[in-house]
Amino acid sequence: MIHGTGLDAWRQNPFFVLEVPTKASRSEVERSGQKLLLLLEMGNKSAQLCQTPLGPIERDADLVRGALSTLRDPEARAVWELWANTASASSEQPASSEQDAIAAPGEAPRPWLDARRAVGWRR
Amino acid sequence: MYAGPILILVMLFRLLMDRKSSTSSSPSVRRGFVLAGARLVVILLTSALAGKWLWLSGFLYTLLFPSFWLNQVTVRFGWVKASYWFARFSFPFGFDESARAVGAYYGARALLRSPERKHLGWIEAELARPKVLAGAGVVALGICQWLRGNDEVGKKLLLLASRLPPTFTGRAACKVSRDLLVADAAEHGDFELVIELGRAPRPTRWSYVMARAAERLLETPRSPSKLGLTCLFLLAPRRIATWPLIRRALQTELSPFAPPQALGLESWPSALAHLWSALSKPHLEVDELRRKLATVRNVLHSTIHQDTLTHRCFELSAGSASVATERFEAQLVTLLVEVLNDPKVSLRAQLNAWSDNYLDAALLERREALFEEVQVAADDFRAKTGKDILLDAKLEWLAWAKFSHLADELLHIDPESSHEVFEATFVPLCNFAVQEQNERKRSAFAWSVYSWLSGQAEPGENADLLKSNLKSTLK
Repeated sequence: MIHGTGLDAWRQNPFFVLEVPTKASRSEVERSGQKLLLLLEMGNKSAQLCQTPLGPIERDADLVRGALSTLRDPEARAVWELWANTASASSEQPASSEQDAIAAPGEAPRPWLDARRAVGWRR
Repeated sequence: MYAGPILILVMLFRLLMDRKSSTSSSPSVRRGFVLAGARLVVILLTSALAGKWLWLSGFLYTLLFPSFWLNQVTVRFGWVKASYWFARFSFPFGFDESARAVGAYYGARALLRSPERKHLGWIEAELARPKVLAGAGVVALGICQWLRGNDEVGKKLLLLASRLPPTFTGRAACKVSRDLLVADAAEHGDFELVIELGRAPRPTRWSYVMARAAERLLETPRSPSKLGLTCLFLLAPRRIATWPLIRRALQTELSPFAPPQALGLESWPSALAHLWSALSKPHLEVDELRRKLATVRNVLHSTIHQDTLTHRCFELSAGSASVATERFEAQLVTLLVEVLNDPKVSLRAQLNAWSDNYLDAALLERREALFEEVQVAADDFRAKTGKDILLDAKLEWLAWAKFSHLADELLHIDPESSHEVFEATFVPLCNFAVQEQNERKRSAFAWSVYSWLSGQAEPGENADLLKSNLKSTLK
């Protein structure tokens, strides 16, 4: 069912992998999956990368087959629809110019990204 | 003319000390006096012989006060082998370990500043050779593990080294380990840990000022005033590098109280997006995560959402909405458990057994898994006790760091399990530590084990036994 682990599993939601809306019919899902499989077999570069609301993921034939198989099960599909109905989220670290900004009230203080360099660590 | 014989004399002396210290762990004070006396004899003898040659005085100064050259030149420029060999043959003050371990300590510190990692394996091989490792050796091992990407064990080794008493770890090794841990915690945004480390016994000036700055950032009741923090900052080292954080702390206005944040009525997509954002940070904020998860739960169980889900399940012939809800919740708990298991993520959360928050369900699963792992690790120590298996000091410290990492995480999640953990681990750990102390002269290792056990022991016979064992390691 779950293709990756943790947050990857969420990002690799079958609807994101197949690039179909949650309201898509079964035939639309199958058509999209077969089209992607064909493109991946031909080595199409754009088919190997997929943009999701939670960030980009790499896509391969196994992931597409797994997604198709998952969405064929109505009960599993209902649950994955819940996961797929998410707004766009950003998980990126703040830009360097924003690092030193003070956190908003109630917000946790931002990490100090240069801390290791301060003690001379180049890692 | 005299440089050659002097160098040979110093090297012979170093080799002799190295040979002695690799088989025993004598108290540092006695060793320090012996070393200081020997150095004084050498400097008086050579000064009398050298007379007017200034270059020889410089040469002697280098030999007699090597810490300056090690810290400011070889380590600073990332010269790994130069740091190792120079430390090994000059033996700076403040260390009570084999010269190999001290050399590896400086070599590992140089590795941190070196753009290359090609000498990492070589330093690790050198660390496997001494029969006893204490403060500096453990710090070197921790740095090597960290550079290998084994962050959890590396950090735990540095923490264990920083907690060793002065008998086993010099001020320098303690300072380096403490500062590295504080810097890492600040970089991950874990300012609670910064406070804990900076306020622990034997703080360094830098770690202390970092802790006080973190207190202001978190607006804790003990937050220092602007003037107090400025004074502490001026007295601390690394002022230029630390200024950005201090400036942030000084700009933080302390509010008398923080109003509790009400759970907003969000849409489902927005609740999920906020949960994703909270989960994808390297350091998870417990309160924030609990709030986001509570919002998800509220929206999921709201009448509007359940009606929509029921309708959709009917369209898909997917059974009832309650089954879909249960499956979603189970998947969410699984996801949280996997996030908790991720070594790159730090979360300092305590289990609330009476809560219906998804986080507590995940913490309960994590607690059960950790308890099993702790028992298995304790059984490993039991299996090694009484058998003629001589593992090198490096492997023993690694095993102990792994164990204490698991056990400390378990105790953090569920502090009430302390007695249960003690009962499961006391006999195997204590017996193993006694064997390490008596047969292999690994007093620092034994101290670390006794100290951890005595932290969990309830007042009584076992606590008294551990206290007397702790004292025996310091003799």
